[in-house]
Amino acid sequence: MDFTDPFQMQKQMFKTWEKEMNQAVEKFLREPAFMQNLSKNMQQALDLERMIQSHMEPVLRKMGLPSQEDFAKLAHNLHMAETRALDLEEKVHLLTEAVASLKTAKAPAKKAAAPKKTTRKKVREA
Amino acid sequence: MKFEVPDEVLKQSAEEYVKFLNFLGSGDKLKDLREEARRRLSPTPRTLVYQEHSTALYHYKPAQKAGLPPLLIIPSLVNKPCIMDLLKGQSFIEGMLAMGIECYMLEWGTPTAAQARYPLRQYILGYLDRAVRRTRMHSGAAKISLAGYCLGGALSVIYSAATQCRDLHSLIAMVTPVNFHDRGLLSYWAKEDHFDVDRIVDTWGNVPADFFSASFPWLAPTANIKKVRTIYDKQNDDDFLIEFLALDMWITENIPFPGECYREIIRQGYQKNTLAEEGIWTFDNGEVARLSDITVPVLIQAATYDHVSPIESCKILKSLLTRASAKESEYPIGHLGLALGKDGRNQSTTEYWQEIYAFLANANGKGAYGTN
Repeated sequence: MDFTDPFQMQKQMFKTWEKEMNQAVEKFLREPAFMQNLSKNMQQALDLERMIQSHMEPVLRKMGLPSQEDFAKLAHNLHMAETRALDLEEKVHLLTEAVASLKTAKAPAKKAAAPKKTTRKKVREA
Repeated sequence: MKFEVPDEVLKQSAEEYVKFLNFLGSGDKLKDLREEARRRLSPTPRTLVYQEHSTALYHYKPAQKAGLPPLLIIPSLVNKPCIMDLLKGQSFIEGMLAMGIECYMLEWGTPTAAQARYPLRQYILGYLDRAVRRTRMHSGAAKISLAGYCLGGALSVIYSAATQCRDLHSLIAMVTPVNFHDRGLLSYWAKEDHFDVDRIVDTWGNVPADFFSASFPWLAPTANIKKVRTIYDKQNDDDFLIEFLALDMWITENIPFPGECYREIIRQGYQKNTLAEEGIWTFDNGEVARLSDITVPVLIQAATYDHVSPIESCKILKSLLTRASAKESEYPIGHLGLALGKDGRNQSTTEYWQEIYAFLANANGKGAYGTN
């Protein structure tokens, strides 16, 4: 460490602190006791939220307002319609391609048939 | 005893003090720079191909085509896809277009309340499969190349296995975690004995973005202090700050995770680790995707200093691909080096993009790298 430059010294100290701090926090986050407590707190918070949700449902129904569940059902129906439209679009695309390839396959056949007729005609004329 | 402070130190102290006072008053400037950074995000021109529910497919056209199969990019489900096209000069897509590779990107979007109940099968065999079909239709190519980033890579690997690479020319797995039982904190937190994923999904539906923004900083606890220090050090360099804030926005602004998908990924990925341990992924309807069914050439790109997808978690993929010709590359960069074209020390990483070009060109004559 350069003891003559206080700014460099400060930066070096900060770097060391940063490294040590990261390691200490990671060690703490891996402690089984910490994880157990965190898990328990989260469980309680989620249970409280579910309880609020279950109490809100009948209130919303009584007020004639849609619940999250109603929105999810509506969104699902819209999604299904959108998916069907996209599927149809793809089918139309495939059919258009198939028709186009049939047209290109028929086009040279017509051209090939044309000289035959004239040959027969010429033969008959002869 | 008398202490004497050298003039040079006094002058430097005064400069630092002025700098600190300026920094304290720089709140509005930072706000403006943040808005400027937001305006500059996703700069590459693109056209919308289609939208389905929250997802959307975009097309990026190169000025000149190199005659290689189109590249369909699959970003992660948990962050915004703009990381693949962050800023001008820091964009994976821009780099690909410059090499003449036509690009498409599937954006997952913010899941709706209905999508909270859609299983991972819908995301892989529904949305991703449609994106592959539409890319083929739009580009006119018989087969395409799939490039997945991070968790998007894992989804691409499962998709390739489930469809037996039906419409694929090749697969690129960029910083893709396959082994979820690694040394990382994410892997530890998701353990079955202290992480009740059912309670989370049953209560929240889609897992809120706030849940991720609150947890991810703990992966690097002093990162926020480092962030303030960087802004302080570079307070007079606006160009640097705009780039820094753009990246910070991407890191901190997560998107909600579709609920049922989250349940499946945590249970089967992080808790049972079936992909790495058995080489399979079982969908909710019992259908099984086997990694041994991947037969197209695969390029595995892993980063040495990746703290999100640790290197050993990515590199295991090669050993699981028993019927594919796979090439594995390790680069001395972090998780975002491949997406940004530069690493944390501002060194260019675009040479690693050229490997993608060479891979796509070589993969035309399949088996270029030999099977495992």
